[in-house]
Amino acid sequence: MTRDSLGGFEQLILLAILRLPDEAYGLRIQEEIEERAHRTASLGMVYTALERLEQKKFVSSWSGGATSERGGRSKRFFKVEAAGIRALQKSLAATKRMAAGVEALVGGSR
Amino acid sequence: MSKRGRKYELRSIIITHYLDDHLRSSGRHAFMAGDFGTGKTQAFATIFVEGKSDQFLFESLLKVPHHGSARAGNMVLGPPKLAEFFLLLLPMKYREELIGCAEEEYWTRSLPRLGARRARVIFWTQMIHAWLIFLARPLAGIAGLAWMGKVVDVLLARFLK
Repeated sequence: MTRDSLGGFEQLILLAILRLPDEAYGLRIQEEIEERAHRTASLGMVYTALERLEQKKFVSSWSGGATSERGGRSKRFFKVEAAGIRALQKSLAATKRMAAGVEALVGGSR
Repeated sequence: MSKRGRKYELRSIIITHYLDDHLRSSGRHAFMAGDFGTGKTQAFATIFVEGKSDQFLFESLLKVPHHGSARAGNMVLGPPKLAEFFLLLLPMKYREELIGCAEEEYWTRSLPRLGARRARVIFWTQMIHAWLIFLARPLAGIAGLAWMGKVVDVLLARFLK
């Protein structure tokens, strides 16, 4: 996998961040993936992927306020950058091209 | 009724720790009900936290006081400290945020839905999983080296025959 390519889980993370404008932090991202993609994701998986995506400059982050139910720890919010959008477009387009012609077999015609 | 045989009904409880703030800020009232006989050292109690539109249920193991007072005192409902300590040792950039999310999950999702015991298990699972993910790459590297070593052994054995 090249440095700019996206893994399947990274793709889900970027899509989850896009779906959660201004409230994309670890736990919400994990919930979104579990609810929509029906995929189990631990917080360790989510944060490891987020760190990797930030290294690739696909996402940026900022620190939010601390709340009592988080033990006084702050939230870190994430936002998808232009490079992340481009990588996501490429990755989704590649999936679409690969699925072309075999939708009936893989159930893509829903 | 003699003091020894008397049963105590707990009508109210002060929930300490972060949950207290959480409840106060959301305008909810917590109460606990349960019958306890003296002489027992512990009992399961059920705590209801009433909201405007929903009701959460907590279960926890309480120590029953021997001296006859029906006060439950401080309840240990918090996430496991040892698991939190192991999470703090994780060499990750956002480990503080990860612990914050694990705590938030504990207080807002696991504890109300599953009770204290299972919520604690989930917290431990998050910790173990985070460490396994961190260790996966170095372990895969070691496994890869071991596999390459075996390949070299096989090749050497063939050539040296």
